[in-house]
Amino acid sequence: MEIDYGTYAFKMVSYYFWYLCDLFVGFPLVIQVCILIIMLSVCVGIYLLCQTVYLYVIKHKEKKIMDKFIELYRDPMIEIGNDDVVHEPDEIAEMMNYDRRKPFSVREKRLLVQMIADTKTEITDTRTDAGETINRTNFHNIIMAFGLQSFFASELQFSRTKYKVRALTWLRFLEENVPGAVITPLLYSRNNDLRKAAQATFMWNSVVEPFRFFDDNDYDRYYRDWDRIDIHSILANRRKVGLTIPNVAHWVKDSRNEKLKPFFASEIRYLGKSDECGELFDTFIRTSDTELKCEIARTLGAMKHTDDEENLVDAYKAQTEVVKVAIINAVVDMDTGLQLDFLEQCYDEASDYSVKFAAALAMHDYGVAGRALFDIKQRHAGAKYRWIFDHINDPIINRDRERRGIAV
Amino acid sequence: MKEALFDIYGYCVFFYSLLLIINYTVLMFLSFNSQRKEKTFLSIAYIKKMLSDSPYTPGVSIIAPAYNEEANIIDNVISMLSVDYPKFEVVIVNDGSTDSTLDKLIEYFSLVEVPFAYHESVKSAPVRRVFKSTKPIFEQLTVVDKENGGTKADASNAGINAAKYPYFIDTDVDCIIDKYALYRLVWAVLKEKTPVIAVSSTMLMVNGCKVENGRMVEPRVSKRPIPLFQQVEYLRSYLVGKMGWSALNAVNNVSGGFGFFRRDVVVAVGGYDSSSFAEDMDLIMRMISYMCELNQPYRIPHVAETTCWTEGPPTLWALSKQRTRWARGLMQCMFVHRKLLFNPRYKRLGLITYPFMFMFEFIAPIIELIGYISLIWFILIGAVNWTTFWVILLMLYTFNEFMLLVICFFSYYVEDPSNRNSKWDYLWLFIASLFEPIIYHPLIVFFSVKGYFSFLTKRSFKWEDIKREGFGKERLEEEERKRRERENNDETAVQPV
Repeated sequence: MEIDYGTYAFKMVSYYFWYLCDLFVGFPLVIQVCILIIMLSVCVGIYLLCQTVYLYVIKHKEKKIMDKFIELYRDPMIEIGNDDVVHEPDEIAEMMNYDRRKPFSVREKRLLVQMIADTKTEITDTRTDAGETINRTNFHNIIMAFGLQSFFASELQFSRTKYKVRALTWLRFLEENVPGAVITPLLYSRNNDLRKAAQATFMWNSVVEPFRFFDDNDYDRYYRDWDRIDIHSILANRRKVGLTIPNVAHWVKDSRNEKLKPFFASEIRYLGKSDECGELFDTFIRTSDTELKCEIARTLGAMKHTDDEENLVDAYKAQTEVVKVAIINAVVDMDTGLQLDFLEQCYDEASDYSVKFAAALAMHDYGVAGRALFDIKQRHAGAKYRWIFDHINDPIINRDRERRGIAV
Repeated sequence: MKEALFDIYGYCVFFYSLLLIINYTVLMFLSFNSQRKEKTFLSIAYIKKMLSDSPYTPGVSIIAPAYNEEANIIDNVISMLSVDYPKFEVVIVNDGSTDSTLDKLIEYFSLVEVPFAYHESVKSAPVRRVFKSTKPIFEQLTVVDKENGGTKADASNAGINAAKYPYFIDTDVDCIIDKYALYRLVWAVLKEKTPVIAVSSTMLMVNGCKVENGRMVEPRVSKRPIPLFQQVEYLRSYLVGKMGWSALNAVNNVSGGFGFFRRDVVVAVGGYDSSSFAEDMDLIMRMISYMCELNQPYRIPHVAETTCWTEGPPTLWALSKQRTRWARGLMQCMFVHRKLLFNPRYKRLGLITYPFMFMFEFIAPIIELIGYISLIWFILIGAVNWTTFWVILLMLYTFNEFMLLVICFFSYYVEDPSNRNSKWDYLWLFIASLFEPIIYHPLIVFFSVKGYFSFLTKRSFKWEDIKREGFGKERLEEEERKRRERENNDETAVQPV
């Protein structure tokens, strides 16, 4: 007869539970409660102890596997990644002494991908410092040599959420691709992390409506500051590899999320899309959002959109202090040389410390005439504001500005 | 009548303890849930790569006030400067030190006085000079030399004024910061949908750890009793308490030893209160009140991974001074912010956090002290039911050890190598938790009550820093002892027969 161990264990536990309960029937409430707490603490404690030991063993095992991978594959991988000659997957497998007849387990594959990603970062960092690029084809062939392409697909289809998210980030990190049919079911997952990772991976390399998520309200509902960093890296990568970049100006105007608007306004300048600055000033006038106003002013300045310089100057007085600082900086960035009177006026009329500082700095950076005015203002400055001028003039404090090519 | 009073008293104490156990149990569940949810799916390498390349990465200022810290100052500043993050600065505030703290800084980092446009956004004692390094390698370092304001809060305020980034970390000069601490803290801010005004994080004892050049090389537990007891206490407080409260967005305090704050909110509430003895708790309460009064959403998450190691009081005398001050500060906070109690306007702070603090942190030492006194009295008059006594004691011990197991489990669950100690360290923690309720806890109760008493009697209180031993001193002593033993053995071995 077959024994059902589950039922057996349950019956045993419940027997002892009721036995103990029976033992303390008739005792005062205090004793009964204490015994209950002791019993629960002991039972849950033993369970947790087992779990901790299990976690310890798992971590220990993973560390051993990782160490083995590093010892076996790290150096050949660096060599292949740095090599300008393209190596085929079979050749790479041979170079790494990898026996394809004995494939790795899923856990080993996860650790191997982690190791490849770490190695790739290491090589990229070293070569970027030296002004070179890594051999991407060879890295792709390393993935092929270990048969990891099908691993990514199976991770995305069958593993737990945590591993799915990791697989999606690895795909981007290693610049790999999986069939669209594998990612599509994840694009509208209820899990925020998973959905966002899937959408990011989709936007990373898709050519068919990659940015449709900004049109529906999905990004509006779950927008976080991390998304700015994520989307920016996607857009920057697409530009780098020559894929299409969307027109973001209409999202500055139409997005339902107020937080997305300033982000897209700043993306115009980071992506260098000067042709999209045309309608920004209209949005500047219409909006009451300080952050959006600041970003629009900064973008107009950085893109040297001089058509709106006069408009910004006219709008200056009605703005909050933060926006005033942004407008002053925009005027300096445009560098038309026509707004020195405006900057002087800003300095003279400013009651806020940050605006006064920004105006003084702007005069300093506004060409030869600006520097002359700065010197005059410095001579006439009272003790209260002399610090501002000394601060701006000091070469040690302004080392970072000097590095950016601004004379101090 | 007398017996009835005894019974009522006994039941009150019992149900109070029971409530405390239930609270901790709930916090454990919340903490686990929070860790499960907050646990990032992304590796720290990925977060690092993304933040390193992005123009949206927020800058962070590390502010560390220093008063007579000549023993550690260079190591510590090096530790802070070697933090891995693309956009940060270190602001050291020399709070009128009477030793060679400033001279050492000037000499080691080649500092020169600069005409820094110091703007007093929050109140602090007058600033004398500001220094920057002539060496580009120490470009991120700013040293503010100010007159002694008498408190750390005052010095921190000067640091906030000199800071240039939107977020700042307020730390102590005796802290060792984890290399990736800033990535972890900034990730906690960026991943939230709700605006984050402060981040709390796990902080452990540096006593007993191996530290080299201001870097944590090997996290270990101290073998000395006072720091060891504190390690147990800190682990419980951060991994169960703070992490649990974080699930409810009801973190009541971001440690003054290592707290991450949004600068504009701190400036808006007037910075630290220099007259407060618990300036960190006071600041958080004012920040939350401010957000609630403006009806703005806010979040204060807790990072489970260890981001900082601090030097705990190594002696009983130092511990006494620290805990007396904390108790004084708690009482002051409770008194100053009394309007929060059960005030629905302040949401979770008024309805959950403040009442909990009042019931289980503020009143607890008083109840426990009464308990100790009455237990002695009952023993003397022979009114103790010993069976009940032993059963209750067994329950408390079992629950205490159970909590330690939970902590051990959590420290593995968060997948943070710096949280994980060796197997023998866990044994030490286990031993400490066995003795904690009978040795350490009564002492803490006594120091707390002493603090309340000195606050109520308005005794003058002088802000004194704990005498520092320097990082890794305990470890160095142990290694030196082993070396001597080895040498002695060698000498014995080569002696002619």
